[in-house]
Amino acid sequence: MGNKVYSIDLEDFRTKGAKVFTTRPRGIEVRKRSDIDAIEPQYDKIIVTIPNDISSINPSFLEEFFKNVVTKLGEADFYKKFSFVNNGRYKIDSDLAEAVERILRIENALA
Amino acid sequence: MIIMLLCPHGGAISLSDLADVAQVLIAIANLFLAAYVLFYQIRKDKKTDNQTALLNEQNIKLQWFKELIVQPNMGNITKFYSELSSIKERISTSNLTTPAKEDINNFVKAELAKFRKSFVDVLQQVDRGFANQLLENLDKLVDGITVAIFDDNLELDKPNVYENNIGSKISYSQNNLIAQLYNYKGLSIEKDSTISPRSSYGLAFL
Repeated sequence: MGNKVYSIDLEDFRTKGAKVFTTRPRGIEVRKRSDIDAIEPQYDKIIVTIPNDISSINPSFLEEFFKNVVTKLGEADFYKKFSFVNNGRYKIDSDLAEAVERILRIENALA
Repeated sequence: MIIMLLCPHGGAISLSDLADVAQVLIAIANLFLAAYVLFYQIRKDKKTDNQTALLNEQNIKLQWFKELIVQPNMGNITKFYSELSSIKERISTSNLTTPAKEDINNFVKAELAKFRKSFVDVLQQVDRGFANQLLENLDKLVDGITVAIFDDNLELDKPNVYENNIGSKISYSQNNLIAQLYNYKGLSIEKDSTISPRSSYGLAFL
């Protein structure tokens, strides 16, 4: 595996002053604006930076944001490829796990 | 031609001969009409039988849906909304700190995750589109609570502010969920889980 790294800073997609990322439509919007689906195959590692003063990123948002990359990579490869940086209080782990589980539950139901 | 056959000797056609011919024609027409009615009736009966069979199958599915999925989960539905309503006491303190708000919000999200696993995922196996509709309702509620909790302009410790921004959303979502279950007809609602950006959540995009 190479070492081409790409960074996504959620600050770029944040409404000024907002402390949360919520709702599915917003997840779709950020997925499209960040072009994450097209960028993902071109890099070996993707680092997502979460602003320090964010208090919540809800699973509804994350489900739509990562829907296509999780579906394509699968759970294990998604976690290998994507890493999250946040020096603030908020920890994304449980919300991200819930979002990934939701995405894969749809895939499993279709299998 | 028929008249010629009936009058082999070339004599004048009598009224009686014409009546005989007419009777033969009427008999033939009757025969065709009877055959048509019989054919039509058989086809109609077959169609009705198919519709009845479909209706029976739908009723059986609805009965199983009620007995295997809805009834065993009525307690979970009530518990989920009751747990969400319990945050009112925790919010009643004025000047909640950010960590306290995060704890309340994490509690709400954890309750949704539990409810999703125990109820929505079971529905998913029966009707994916319907399960997604219910999850949209639940996400809308939890996202609304999250937005309200972290909105510094809202004084949620005031009862009317809490009611307008959280309490009414919980009641609306519960009523909506019950209506969705009540109105379910047992017919698969195939719908992609992607929500159109145009579908409004009534929330500011934060």
